[in-house]
Amino acid sequence: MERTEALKQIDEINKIIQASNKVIFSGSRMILYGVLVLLIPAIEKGTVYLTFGYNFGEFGKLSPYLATLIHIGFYWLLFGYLGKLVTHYFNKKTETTIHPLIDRAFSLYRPIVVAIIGVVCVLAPMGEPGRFIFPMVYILLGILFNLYGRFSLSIVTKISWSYIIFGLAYLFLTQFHLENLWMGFTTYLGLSYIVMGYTLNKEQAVS
Amino acid sequence: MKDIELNKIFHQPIRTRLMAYLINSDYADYTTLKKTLNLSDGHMSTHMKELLSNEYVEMKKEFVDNKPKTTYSITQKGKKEFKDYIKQLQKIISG
Repeated sequence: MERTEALKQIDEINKIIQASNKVIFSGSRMILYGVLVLLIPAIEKGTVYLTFGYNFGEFGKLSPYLATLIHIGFYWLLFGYLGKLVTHYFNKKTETTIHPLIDRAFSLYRPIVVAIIGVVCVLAPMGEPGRFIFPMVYILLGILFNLYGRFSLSIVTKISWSYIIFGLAYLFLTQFHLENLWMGFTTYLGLSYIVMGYTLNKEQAVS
Repeated sequence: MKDIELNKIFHQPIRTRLMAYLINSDYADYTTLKKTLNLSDGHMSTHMKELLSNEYVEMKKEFVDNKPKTTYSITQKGKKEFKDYIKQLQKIISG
């Protein structure tokens, strides 16, 4: 057997191994989340931060606790419901069969998601410390995607590192009280989701 | 260089794909393998038969929600010999 033929064979094996990993999470769902994340600034501005300009009585504006609850509920439903819909229509025929150990490692996503929601719930109603929400969410997402990336495509790992670095940069920038900084970071988050989703879908079919 | 004897069962493009998928995920159902690897029913039955008869792969049939489901898993023998096959390919590459 020729060396080049052996190289081709090894390359083919690597491609299949990558393909068997990438079904860990849905590329179409990632693209949808990316589009939704890109829409967040428009949704927030368009609905006056989900209050529709309504004045909530004695607080002068919506109570911070109620605002936090409404935000979590609204985005949870939006992302959850549309995500299920997309998976149902685009990925229903590809059943995920991942290694039980990877499956176990993946269950680590639960404490990270709880930590993200916890950070939002605790910091949002506190007023001033609320500015730390975005950087902390960014860093936690970085850790989450770094975990995914270890079992999936290298682009996921690269993007996860960018989340961690951007999160730290954001943390540093919070001292300057830049009002629309979150919009720039949210746009990056949305675009990076779309890139990851597109790459995952592209790699899915092994030709 | 002395000729390296490669496992003839694995050294077939479709069977290489099937084994590469299974060595990484341990098990997979019929539909997943067929869709992900772009194989026809004919390919699946011919090459799976070969892998099953050589005890590289095991098959399990069950009913899930009243529908038949066939799952394939790689055996210890299959794992060991496919790893040996990869090692041999690497030997060829390194000369």
